[in-house]
Amino acid sequence: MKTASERSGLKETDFSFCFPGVFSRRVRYCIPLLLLVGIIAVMVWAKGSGPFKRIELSLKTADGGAVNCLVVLPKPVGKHPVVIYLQGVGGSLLGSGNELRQFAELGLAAVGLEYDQTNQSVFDGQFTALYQYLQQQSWAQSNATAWVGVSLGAQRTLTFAVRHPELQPQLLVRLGGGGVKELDEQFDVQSSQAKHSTLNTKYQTSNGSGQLTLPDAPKPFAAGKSQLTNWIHCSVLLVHGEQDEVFPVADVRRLAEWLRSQGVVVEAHILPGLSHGFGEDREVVMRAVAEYCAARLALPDYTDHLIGCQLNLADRERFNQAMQRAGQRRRELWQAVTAAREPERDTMMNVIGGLEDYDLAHISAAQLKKLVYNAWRARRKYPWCRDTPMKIFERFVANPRTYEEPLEDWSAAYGPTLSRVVKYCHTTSEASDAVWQWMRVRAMEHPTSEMEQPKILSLIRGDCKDFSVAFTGLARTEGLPVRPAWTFWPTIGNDHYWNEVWSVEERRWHAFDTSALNRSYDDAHWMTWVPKSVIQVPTGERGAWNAVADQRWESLTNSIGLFYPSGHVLVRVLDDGKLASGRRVGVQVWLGNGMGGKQADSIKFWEPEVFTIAAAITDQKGEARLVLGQSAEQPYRIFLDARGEPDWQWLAVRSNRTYTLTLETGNHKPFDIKATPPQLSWLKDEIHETR
Amino acid sequence: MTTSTESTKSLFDRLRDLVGPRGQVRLRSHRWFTVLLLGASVLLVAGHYTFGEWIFHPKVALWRESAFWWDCCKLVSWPVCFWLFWTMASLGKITSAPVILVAAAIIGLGDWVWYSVSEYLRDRGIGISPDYWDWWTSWAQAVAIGGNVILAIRWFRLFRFYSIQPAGKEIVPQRLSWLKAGLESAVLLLGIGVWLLILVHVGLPQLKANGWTLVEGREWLVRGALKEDFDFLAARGGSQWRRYRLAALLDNLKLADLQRHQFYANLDEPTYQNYILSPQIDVLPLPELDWRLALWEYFHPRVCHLNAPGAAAHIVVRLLRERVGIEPTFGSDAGVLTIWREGFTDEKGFDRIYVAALRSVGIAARLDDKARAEIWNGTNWESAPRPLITSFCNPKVIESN
Repeated sequence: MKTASERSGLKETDFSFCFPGVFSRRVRYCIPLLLLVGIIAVMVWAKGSGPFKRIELSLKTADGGAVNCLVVLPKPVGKHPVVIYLQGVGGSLLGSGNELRQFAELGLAAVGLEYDQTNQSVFDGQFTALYQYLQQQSWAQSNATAWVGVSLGAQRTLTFAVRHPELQPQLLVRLGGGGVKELDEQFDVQSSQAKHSTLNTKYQTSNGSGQLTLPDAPKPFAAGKSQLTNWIHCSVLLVHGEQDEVFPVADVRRLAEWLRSQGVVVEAHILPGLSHGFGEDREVVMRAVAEYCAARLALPDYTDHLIGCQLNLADRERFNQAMQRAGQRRRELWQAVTAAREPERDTMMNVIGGLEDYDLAHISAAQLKKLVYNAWRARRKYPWCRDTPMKIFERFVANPRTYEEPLEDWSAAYGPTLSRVVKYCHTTSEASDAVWQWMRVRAMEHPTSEMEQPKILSLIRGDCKDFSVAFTGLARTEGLPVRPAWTFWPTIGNDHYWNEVWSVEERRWHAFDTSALNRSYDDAHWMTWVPKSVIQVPTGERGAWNAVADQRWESLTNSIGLFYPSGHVLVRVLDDGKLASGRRVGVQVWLGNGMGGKQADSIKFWEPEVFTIAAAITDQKGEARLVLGQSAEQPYRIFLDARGEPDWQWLAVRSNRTYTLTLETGNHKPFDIKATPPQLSWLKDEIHETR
Repeated sequence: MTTSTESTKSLFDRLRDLVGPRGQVRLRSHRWFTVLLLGASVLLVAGHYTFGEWIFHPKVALWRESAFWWDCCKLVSWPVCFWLFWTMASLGKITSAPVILVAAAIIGLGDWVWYSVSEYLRDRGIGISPDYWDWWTSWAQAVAIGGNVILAIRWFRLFRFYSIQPAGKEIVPQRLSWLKAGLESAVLLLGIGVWLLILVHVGLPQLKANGWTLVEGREWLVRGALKEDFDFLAARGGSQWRRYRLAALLDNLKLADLQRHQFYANLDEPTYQNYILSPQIDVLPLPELDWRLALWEYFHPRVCHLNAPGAAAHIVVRLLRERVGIEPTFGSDAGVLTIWREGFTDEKGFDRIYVAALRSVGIAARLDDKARAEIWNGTNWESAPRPLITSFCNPKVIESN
């Protein structure tokens, strides 16, 4: 019986018979090498696909010592605010990984330090070396820094801040920290100067912890106030466990009050039932601290490293805000940005800047890329898109969102067909009509049947809103800048949706009732058939998708002034006789008691009710501006949006007039919904004249 | 010896043999005949294009449109391109021009048939679908692909003959025994069966949920005991499931079933279906139903050792707060998966995802009339534990000095 090696003619020591005979000797030796290369490739890939970038470094201090640091950067790496995290007694750099990760998850560059836990002077040298290192890093925003110290780390950072006021951060966060010697000394100096010392200080430095007993606040240390403000000029957050066994909570309260009395911005949070180290809730506390830092520090700047980026500061800010909101999806969105070239890349960044939260969380890089590239294809190809202003193009052609419809790939489903439909169109009018005709024919073909495909065509069988959404999606596929429009008919008691198309020939928005199957693009006289109060259109910004449903009218643009006889209303809000900013002013139309109801032989009868149709927020001057359609049969009710029975007024609006109203916050004025509002028959003739 | 030499010839040598002594390619067909055939093909294709454009845009004066002429030029170049490609690929051994002409003729003939059918239907008063001519646009592509497949088969035969067939070797047909034939047939049938099963279990869940996939999925992918729950889910989600793959619905069903008895020994079916199985928590403008897998993967390992809903809820809310911040600037209309991915929401949204997280681990949960999360403790509904910290940015919540 021959063995395998004998059959193959190889020696026993030659293990190559283990390999299939078809492999030559060279190939056999290549296999382990290939495996090794494969393993290395997988490791590199795994490292690259991780959510964070880790940098381990050793810094030399001025006195010749060294300190180990760990930097955790979120991906994509931009220019991030920096959080320097210092662990407590007995903690180590490696043990701080979870905390650093929590900061990095929120877009912050988290830096850990293996600092000297026994000597403050050595720590000062180490911290200064780290500070100097951070000043030179391209990923660090050196003017947006927070120091987060836990227990001993909190003591060390506060002492350093007092000793080196020129290096202080924007934010100082102290978790389970107490008072420090330097503050006591400062306090004593001030106290002796003021000859009014009541501060009794006990401080133990043997184990890095201590107790600070501060006087009952407020204390009149006016002489020392400016001096201390020079020492601590950053905001301070104090977080402390109620059951802290190392630093009593009363000390922290007194410290907070004392700092506050010295002009320092301090927030103190005492967490009920928690001990010094916060126990099981430590990660929750760290997450809340990370959120606080992210909210108080500047946004990460992802555009900083992009070469050739043409975005202005406002657009960069929009993009960075969207990236910050995107959370886990940041990398996906960034992938789309880096895969694009100019000018598509700038458009993509502006599109991302306005995406709704749902879209930020669900849209893929491939979808985004396809969307923007398709929009630019249309811009290069069609005259109605080529001359459209870039802002309108980015918000109403490249934007995937109309209202709350699912994200669908419109261009893949209908792009080739619609390209053929608009092939011989030369103007906005022709292209809009061609797309509308195409949609209209299919809507008439399948008026009620339920389609299997959950795509756009399933919308073309619903109400006016569905038609409007469908037209928006279809038209944008072929580069037509389109936005949906919502209006309210006060005399009928109903609302209606249509579209507005940006006409490059007219250089303005053109109303197009796409949901009516018998009104073409140039059929404009329908606009004045029925009295209208407002026409609300999305701005292309985040939050507009459900603004109509939520009645967040201030998130929309009111375009009635472009199409319908309208008047301007200026509302001033007074609070104790002074103009108040940030107040919401609402507009309602009143229905019932014969308006569009049974007496008018209307199809629908509405019970007496008021509908809110517009709103505005007062600006810095305490003024809110509104444009309202000419009043029909009832005046508008302008009211202050506040609890209780806020001030309100009736207002009858005539075309081309400006009205000024004043509402007072202290003026309580009940409104009886069942009372008959004033009748305005005098406006009917004017409406007829405008037709 | 000759045979042996022939058999050891490389493919390159054989290709070189096809070329003449001075390197020129041997053309079989006459040059002018080829030009004639290609010219006819170009004319037919141009006719097809013009016909198509006229059908779609009957009121447009096509000859005045530059877009018409530009696209026409592009389209008529296709027959020439095909001819060039196959001539070069076969070093002139394949005469592709007749095939191209036949394909062009079929396209033209198809135009005539399609138009005649539409006219016939119109005469009979039968309306045609508005998509009738859209379907027709695929015809030319289908014929072009067919023609190229024929040419590719010819090319493959031609070079297989030169590269594989050794000169002079006689092919002896092998006799197939009944046993072998039977075994091979059985293997074939089994193989097909295996592939079908793989297709059903791997492919079907990847399809979008619709009427057909829901029925087939219920038949093939759902255990008998879970069919009732499947029906409940399909009915509850309704048309909203159509945005998702069938796998999302099946994951929801199986993961909920996995957690069915962890916290409750005897949970009645309506409570299970409404407050554990159902992915719908409240009414949203754009509901998200596919959150269970993501949440289950995160929360289940941390509470799998527990049996008391209250204790597990404490852990769930703590873990959830570690991942999701509460920030009023985030809209309250975000779905569970959006909140999970963004890592932020407002208070209302936090309770929504809290309920989802509780359901994902098998705790019956719902929103109360104040939109706060509450859990079923086995006997009655009670408020779920609240997170320790809402936000340090919101001083109302935590004691602030």
